[in-house]
Amino acid sequence: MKTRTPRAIFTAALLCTAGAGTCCAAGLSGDEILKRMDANTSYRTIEYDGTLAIYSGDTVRTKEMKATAMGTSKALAEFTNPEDKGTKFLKIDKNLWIYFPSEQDTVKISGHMLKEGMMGSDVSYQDALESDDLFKKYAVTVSGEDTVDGRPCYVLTLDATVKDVQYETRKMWVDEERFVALKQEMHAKSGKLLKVSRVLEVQQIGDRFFPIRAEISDQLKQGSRTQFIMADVRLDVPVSETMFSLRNLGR
Amino acid sequence: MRNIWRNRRRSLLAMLSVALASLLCLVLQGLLGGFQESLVKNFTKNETGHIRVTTKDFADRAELLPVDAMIHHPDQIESAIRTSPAIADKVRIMTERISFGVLLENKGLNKTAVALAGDPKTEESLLYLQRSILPGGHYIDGPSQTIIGAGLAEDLKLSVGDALKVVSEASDGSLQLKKFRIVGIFRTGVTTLDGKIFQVPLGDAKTFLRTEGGSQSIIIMLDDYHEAARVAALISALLEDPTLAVTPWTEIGDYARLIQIETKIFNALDLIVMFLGAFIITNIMTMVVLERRKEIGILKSMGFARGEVLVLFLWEGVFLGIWGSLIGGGLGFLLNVILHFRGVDFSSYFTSLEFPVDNIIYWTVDAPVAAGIVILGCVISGVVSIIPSLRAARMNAVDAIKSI
Amino acid sequence: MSTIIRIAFRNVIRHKRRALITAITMMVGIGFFIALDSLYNGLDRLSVDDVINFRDSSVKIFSAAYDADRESYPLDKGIPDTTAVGAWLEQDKRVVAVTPRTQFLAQAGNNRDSVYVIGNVVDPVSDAKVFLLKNALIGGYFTQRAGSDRQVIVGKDLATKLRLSVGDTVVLAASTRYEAQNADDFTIVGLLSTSDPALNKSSVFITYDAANDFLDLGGLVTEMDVRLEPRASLPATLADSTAVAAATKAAFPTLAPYSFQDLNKGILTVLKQKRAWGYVMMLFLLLIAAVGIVNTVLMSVYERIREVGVLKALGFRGREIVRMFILEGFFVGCLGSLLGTALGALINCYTIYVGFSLAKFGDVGGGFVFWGTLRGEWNPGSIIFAVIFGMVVAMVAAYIPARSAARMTATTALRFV
Repeated sequence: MKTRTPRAIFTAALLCTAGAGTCCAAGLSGDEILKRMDANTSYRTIEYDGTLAIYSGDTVRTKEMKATAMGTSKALAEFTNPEDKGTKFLKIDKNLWIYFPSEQDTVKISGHMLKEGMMGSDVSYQDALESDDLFKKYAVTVSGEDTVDGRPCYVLTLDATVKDVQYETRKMWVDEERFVALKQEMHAKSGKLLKVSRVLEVQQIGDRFFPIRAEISDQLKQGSRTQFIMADVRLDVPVSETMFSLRNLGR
Repeated sequence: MRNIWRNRRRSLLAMLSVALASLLCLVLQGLLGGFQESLVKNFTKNETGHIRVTTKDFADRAELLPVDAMIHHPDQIESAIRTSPAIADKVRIMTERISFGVLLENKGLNKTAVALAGDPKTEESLLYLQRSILPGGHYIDGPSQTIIGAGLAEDLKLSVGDALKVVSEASDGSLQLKKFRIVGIFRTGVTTLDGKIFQVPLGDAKTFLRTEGGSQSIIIMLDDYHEAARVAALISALLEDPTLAVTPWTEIGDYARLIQIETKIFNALDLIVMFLGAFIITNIMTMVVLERRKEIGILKSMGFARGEVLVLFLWEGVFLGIWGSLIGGGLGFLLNVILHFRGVDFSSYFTSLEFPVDNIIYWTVDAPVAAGIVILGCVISGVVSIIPSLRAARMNAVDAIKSI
Repeated sequence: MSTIIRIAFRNVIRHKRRALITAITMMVGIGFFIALDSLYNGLDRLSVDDVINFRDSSVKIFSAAYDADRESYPLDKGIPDTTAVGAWLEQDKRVVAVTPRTQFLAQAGNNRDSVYVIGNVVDPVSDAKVFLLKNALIGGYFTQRAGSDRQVIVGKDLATKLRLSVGDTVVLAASTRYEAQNADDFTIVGLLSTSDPALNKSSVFITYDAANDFLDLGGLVTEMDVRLEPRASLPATLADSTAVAAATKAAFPTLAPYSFQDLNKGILTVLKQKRAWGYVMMLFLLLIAAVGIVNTVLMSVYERIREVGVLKALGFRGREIVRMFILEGFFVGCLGSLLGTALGALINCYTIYVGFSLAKFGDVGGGFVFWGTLRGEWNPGSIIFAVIFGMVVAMVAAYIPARSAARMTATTALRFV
């Protein structure tokens, strides 16, 4: 029984977390580790206050938002930082709409536009909207153990088994206790390191460990990284499905 | 002297021809100058102008069309330039511009494009897009209006009267949307323009991009594009701002090279025409002298010495030449001046009237060159009169009279 | 009538010197007109050739499906059977060579900055038969060395922007055919410097060997480019291109072939414009020549008004006299035009068969590589125009004074000085 790794909007496909972290038995298979990570992050609904910090060399751009999502298919985020105040992003399945309060009108983003980096960040719309189904597309092996930020981790190597994946190879450092991927490396077909993501802060919500602060950096561009921070995370709260509609954007 | 008036017709003819030759040479000079000026103008008007003032930051990242590298107080810069006596006279047009990349959307279709924002009135003589507007539309005459390329209209299925949704990142990094009303669709025949560009009023762009009055660039067109580098240096010194880049057109882009080649070709043509002009004068003078061998014979038989005959003919030749050149040169110069201010619209010669270039040629007026041509005419006339005059002087009277 | 002709002819011979001077003036004017016209055509041709040789070839073929989506450089909807298309094209006598290409969007970087570029996948061997990249390279072309499949040719300005040069490594990042992210180090073997700023600033070229691996291309070909036999004149070149494109479309309805004219309306418009200016300038040339002709002819007619008196006294009618002068003008005109055409042809021979090597324009700053030769083009149309112009001017110049002279009474004419 596998689940697609759902994500809140604007987090890259990299925030995987550990499962109800009791046993860290040696001899766990890669699949099992992934499953535990999955259990940490899967939710029916989620609400949080998010902050996106886009670093480019010396400059930082900060965006703040209130986000709500239902599974993987629907998400709504409203920006609260002063410059973008009132702008809303709505995702339904593979479609994205942006609502602008100044003109009270919506723009639809489709097709290959989605490959662009959002707001100049290292996260493309595609990254945010689609997830590489790790189970279906990768073969997972445990390649060793290592320490990250003082925490012992399993090192997982994921090799793509199909051609249509974002990244040919991924390496994950999964916290042995909390089953959170503290570090991930995304490699290209050639082996070149494309992106690195790190989880900087983990919060315990109920009996889950949820990553609430992560950073992704594009290895091909110097000084280019994006941080995503989630505050006031509420999981599986009642959410009305009607809020994920175009009509609702105008209100 | 009397000789000249006696054979009025011939002398007049000769003088007229010299005059015409000088006139044509001079007018051609002016025309060529005007062509070159037009060439440079058309190459530079869309992007760089003769001189472009931007921040250094922008200059480094120009291809990205960044909106966060604005000149904050363009109005101050413009007034500084306008009140500087050394510079103000040389400037013909000065205007602000912002070009920025956008995402357009209509009925679910997306397209990336580039917006050109400028003062609509000024852009009528720079971007010239009003010339290419298809029937059924009109040029921008108010805020929130836009004219878009035909390719854009096709790809997004837009027509005149529709709203154009423009999404762009503003100066402060926020994402903004603005709706413009399409008042006209233009077709220039240049696919890169028609498929990618649309024009909007500068004021709208400044608000939309939250530049707080800032602009990306100030475009300056001079009276004489040759002075671009010099004037750019003057402006740089005047503004004394290390964050600004004042660049002449010769240092931006690749067209400077192409224009230099065109210039060389023009110069070659010029030389050929001048050569032809000189040749004609030579012809005329030679014929004048040769025609009058009989007179030479008569003069000699009347007792004129060889030297006197020589001087006589030489003087006549030079006299004709001087007057011819002066009149021709003078008229030519006058014509150049008139055409400089009036200009001639060559659009009717060009099949594609929609092409957004300035087809009005303003003749250039160059006093030193004019003087040079006049002097050249005189000198040639003089030189060319010498040899046949010498020969005439040496002829013996009888032979001369016998020849016809 | 024939008497008149004979007299006219003999008159011309009698006043050899004068006729010669007039003829020489015509010769210079007409000769240079022809030569300039030919050079202008040559210039146009050069611009067109540049585009054909480096960017568009004579005919560019896409599949219709790809063509509809060209803007986004998709890595699918390729040309299904390139061998069949190639074979069909090559049996057309006008076709010299055909080569496949594939375009993709990528970013080129130096591990610090990166720039969006258009990538071109080429088959080094067949590409060299259609395009002339080799001639515009600083550095070298693709080689066949083992382990050489990560070679790249980049535009010169692109390399400058990234502060790289021949031998350095550039990182190309692109999406594979299956939309996976890939990035790899490529070695720069050559820098491309053409007259097309877009090519110099934002293109890179890699081989199919490299791309099949790097982009998981599977040999996908998104376009085919065709080199046609060179034709002497520009109009013929364009006509060939249009014809072959149309023929290809007829033979392969699912393809979208583009002729040069389809792809480059903008350039052709600009060229036409420049040509118009050229015509104005050549007009001046002719005007000046006309001045010379008119002058000498007028002078000679006025000189001989006394002859007119004699002729009239002999019984010739006014009309016949006018005709005689016109005929003289005609003969001189013939001579001048002949000489002019000869001079023009001579200069043309030099410009067309030898040409001006553009290397002389060489370094106009910025290390711009100019290569190739500026050649003239035969243009019978303008030669005929110039000849007719010259003769008309000569004849008209003779006519006007002749008419007034012929109207004079014999006695007045005889007394004329």
